[in-house]
Amino acid sequence: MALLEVRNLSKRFGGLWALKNVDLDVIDGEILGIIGPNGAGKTTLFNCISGYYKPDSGKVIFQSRDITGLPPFKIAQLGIARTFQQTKAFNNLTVLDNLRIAALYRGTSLDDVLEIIKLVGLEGRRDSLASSLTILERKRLELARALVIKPKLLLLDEVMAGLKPYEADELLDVILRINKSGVTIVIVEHVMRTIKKVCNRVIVLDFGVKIAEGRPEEVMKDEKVIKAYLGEEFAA
Amino acid sequence: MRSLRLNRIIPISVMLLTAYLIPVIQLPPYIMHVFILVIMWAYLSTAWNILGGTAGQLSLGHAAFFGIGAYTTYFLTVWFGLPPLMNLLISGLTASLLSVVIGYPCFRYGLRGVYFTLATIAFAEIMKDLFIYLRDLTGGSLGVWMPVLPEGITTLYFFGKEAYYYVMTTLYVVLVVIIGVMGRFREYLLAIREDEDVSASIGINVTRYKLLALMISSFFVGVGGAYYICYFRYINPYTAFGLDTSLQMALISIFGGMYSFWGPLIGSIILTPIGEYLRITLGGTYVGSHLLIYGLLLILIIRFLPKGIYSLLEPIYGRYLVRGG
Repeated sequence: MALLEVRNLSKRFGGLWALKNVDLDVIDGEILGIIGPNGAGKTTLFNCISGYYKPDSGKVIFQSRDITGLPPFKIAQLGIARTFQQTKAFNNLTVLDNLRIAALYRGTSLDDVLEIIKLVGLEGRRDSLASSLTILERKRLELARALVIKPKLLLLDEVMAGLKPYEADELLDVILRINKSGVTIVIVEHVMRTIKKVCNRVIVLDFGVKIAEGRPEEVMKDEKVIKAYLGEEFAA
Repeated sequence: MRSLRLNRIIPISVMLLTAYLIPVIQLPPYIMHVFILVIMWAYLSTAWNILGGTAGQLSLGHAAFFGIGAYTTYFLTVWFGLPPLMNLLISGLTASLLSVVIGYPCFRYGLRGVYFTLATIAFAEIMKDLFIYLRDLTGGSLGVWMPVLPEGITTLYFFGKEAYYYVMTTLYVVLVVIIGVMGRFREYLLAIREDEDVSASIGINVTRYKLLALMISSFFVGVGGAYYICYFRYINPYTAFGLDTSLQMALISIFGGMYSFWGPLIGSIILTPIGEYLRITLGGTYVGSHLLIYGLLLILIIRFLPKGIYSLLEPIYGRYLVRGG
């Protein structure tokens, strides 16, 4: 069953189509990967789903409810959590306070918050100011904050970017564990390696258009995908 | 923090007791007047700080709410003969309603940062010009005088300064208590100050809470304006809606520490007497020179103590007072 349906979604910035008639389904319980070169519209897609952008046309349907154009806080309340590619946090507050405040709306208990801090591996930094965290730790805080609101659907925007391979592997384990606990995940990534490891299904965007969909191995052999990533001359 | 409850209550009670006992020592009226001003500006700045500090929305137009509070009390007292004590409350509500006029469009359509600040300045200026222009209704630029009323708590007309001092202190205590019991609401405002996008992503209705912060803030500032006219007995549009009045609330908060609960009080205890002293010593000869020194102090504070004077006291008293934010 589709947890999230995106129908004919388009978003334009001036003359540029950031998204053009994108259709996709997110199936309950899966980890869906969304890949594509720079500027393919991946983050725009997330922003349209989570309400930060209003799409120009098309629909976003979550659990059979039309959520197109709802404000971000409403979408968060309905159970879609997101992380930010450019990490954001309540910088003048500690890690624990960041998450404690995030827990208020859903009423997540302190025990659960502490559990999540442990899960993402931030227990040593619990009382540090968010502004003092390293990139890796900030990415983990992003993840923890999204988890604290107990989402049904989790949108991860390049949580692996800039991480060393072993760091990325650590985070991948966490993501798999989250998925096993019943959270459906959509993950935007640049790095094919991470996508191959965790995703059941992949969608490829290029210049705002969906150009391929399927199992990771199949998609990577797709001519259009190779062309998009490597250029005309590499396509067989 | 739960275990520190007693540690919080004791110093606050001591402060309160001291504040209420000050008039017992029979100070000269002018000194009493300065004490009233200190508490009044602490009160106004604390109210301003709900929006400006805690929620991080820098308003430089709070004079609009101060002014409307003062004039509402005047109208209700003079036209309808209502008791000023009750008018205090109605003035607050009027100011709160007025704040929605500017706040809703600003917050709904995402006017952030300096653009919001500009909108608030413009709003207060419009109010000022309106009150100057509508001469028949408002007395124009000459201002309005409160009538002489029988002395008493319901008329808020007293012969001595002490009673005014008690009323002001009580208003301040009410405000502090209300902020103290805000709990979760205050945390939402903190979140909004820190990052609006993140706040929305965790389900906080940013527009609603910013508007609520503005309404609560302007309510108390409106009550403050009402108190002002009851105490000074006179107001004109320049004082009521002037940028000076708005700036004063902001400066005191920033100086004392806008991210802390007690910052505005500390700011007022230091700045108000300095301002008064400079005004009486220099004001006659060099008009406005006290503002020059004010500005200089502010530059120094922002440069060397961006979190205000409070950041000096925090290591010593931080664990006894309500935590910053």
